[in-house]
Amino acid sequence: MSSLLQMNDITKSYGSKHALNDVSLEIGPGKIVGLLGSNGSGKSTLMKMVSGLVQPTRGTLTVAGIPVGLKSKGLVSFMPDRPLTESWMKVRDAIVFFQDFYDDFDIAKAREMLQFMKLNESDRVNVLSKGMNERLQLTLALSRDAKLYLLDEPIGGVDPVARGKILDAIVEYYNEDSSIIISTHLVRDIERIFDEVIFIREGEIVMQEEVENIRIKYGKSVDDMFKEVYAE
Amino acid sequence: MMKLLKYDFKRNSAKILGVAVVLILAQISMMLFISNNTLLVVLTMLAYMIAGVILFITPIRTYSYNLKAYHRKLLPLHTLKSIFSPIAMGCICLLILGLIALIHGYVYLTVYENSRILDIIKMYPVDTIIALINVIWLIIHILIIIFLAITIAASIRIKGSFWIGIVIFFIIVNGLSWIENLLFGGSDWGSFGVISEGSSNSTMNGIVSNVNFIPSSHTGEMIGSFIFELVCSVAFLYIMVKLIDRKVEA
Repeated sequence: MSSLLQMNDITKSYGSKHALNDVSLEIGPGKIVGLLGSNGSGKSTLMKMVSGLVQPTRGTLTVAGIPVGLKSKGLVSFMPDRPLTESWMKVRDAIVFFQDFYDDFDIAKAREMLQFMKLNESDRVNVLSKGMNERLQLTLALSRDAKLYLLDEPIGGVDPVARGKILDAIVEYYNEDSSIIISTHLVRDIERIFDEVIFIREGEIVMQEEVENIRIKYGKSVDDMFKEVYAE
Repeated sequence: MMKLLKYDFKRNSAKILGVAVVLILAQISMMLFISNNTLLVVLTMLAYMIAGVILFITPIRTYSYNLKAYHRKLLPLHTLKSIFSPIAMGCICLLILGLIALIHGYVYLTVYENSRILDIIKMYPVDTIIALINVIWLIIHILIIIFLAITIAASIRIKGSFWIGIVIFFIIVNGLSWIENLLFGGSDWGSFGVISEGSSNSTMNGIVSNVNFIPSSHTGEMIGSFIFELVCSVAFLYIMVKLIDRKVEA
């Protein structure tokens, strides 16, 4: 099975500080992967790099065999930690924006997701609550028929009800032929949907394991394992 | 690029519309309440100049915003399109403003039967057109230089990169002017001296300062200078694309 995402010896430095240090990993298609780590561990940097927002200082990075760049942007759908919309937009405008620029944007799926998320097309983006805004960002990201989805802290800072809704939407609407990487430090709430987890600490991968293996090999839940790995 | 342009316009529509409304209201107020002809002309020109400055700054702010905006950087579009879009927006806005100002000026000159300037234009129609094209090129060229300075500043991740950008801008502008003076003599066809003459040492005196000046009499220098600026602009665009793709991080 060919890998969807391949990172070889990726290093990202800002001056003397390494945001990522010799990271190598491989992710196959059809998986929901948790990218877990505490704040500042390098999760967002890794995602930005895969999406093409940040360039590695060293190493090679491919998505579906294509080096990250202009072409790979059409294969990766990224929901970053800040909105993909502009303050003047209504929900409708945001949908049209994505439709205008992404050939793989599925408008029917977007409308269905809006209904599921209880979002109104005539709502102004700048008056949406944080939870509703997260729902909109997720709708925009998942309505694309991408090969790889990257969701950076999709449930960070939202209430438990919204969290449940967002997780349900991820499972319901993601394209099963593709893979999805979800970064978070709120492990307990989200571990039920992971097939595989990657633990990242101080810019280095400390573990990449199937969730099932963690349960069988270590007799622990992902949350317990997370606490053990990141214990101070 | 048209789609990018559409969204650049949409984001700035409130500002552009605001400028237009204020300009119209200012012109109407001046026509109604100012009887002194000279004062009317000066204030009218000032109003157009202020509107022009705002419309000139708008694409610069748009480019600067787009450079750091995730939703723009994630688009599967060539970087060059994201550079051309705000330039096109700026040119369109300024051209429309210029056109309105020209029509306004024509009406004013006709009404007040001040035909001196109209006679000059009629006498040198080709030169007038060349001068107008030159102004458009000047806007594009300066926007490219400003965008380059912004891009270089954005690609440097240290405190005070904004000031580095400003210094870079002045170095580029003065460097280009100096080289152009070397290559094409004293005639100011450079970035800031499009249609002024007799001031080879001053490059900032801008618009028509000498009505006896005939652009077509300097065709050789003008073409040489234009080609030089064109080559520089292409080189700047290339540098910008490389910096945006490799160095500028959102």
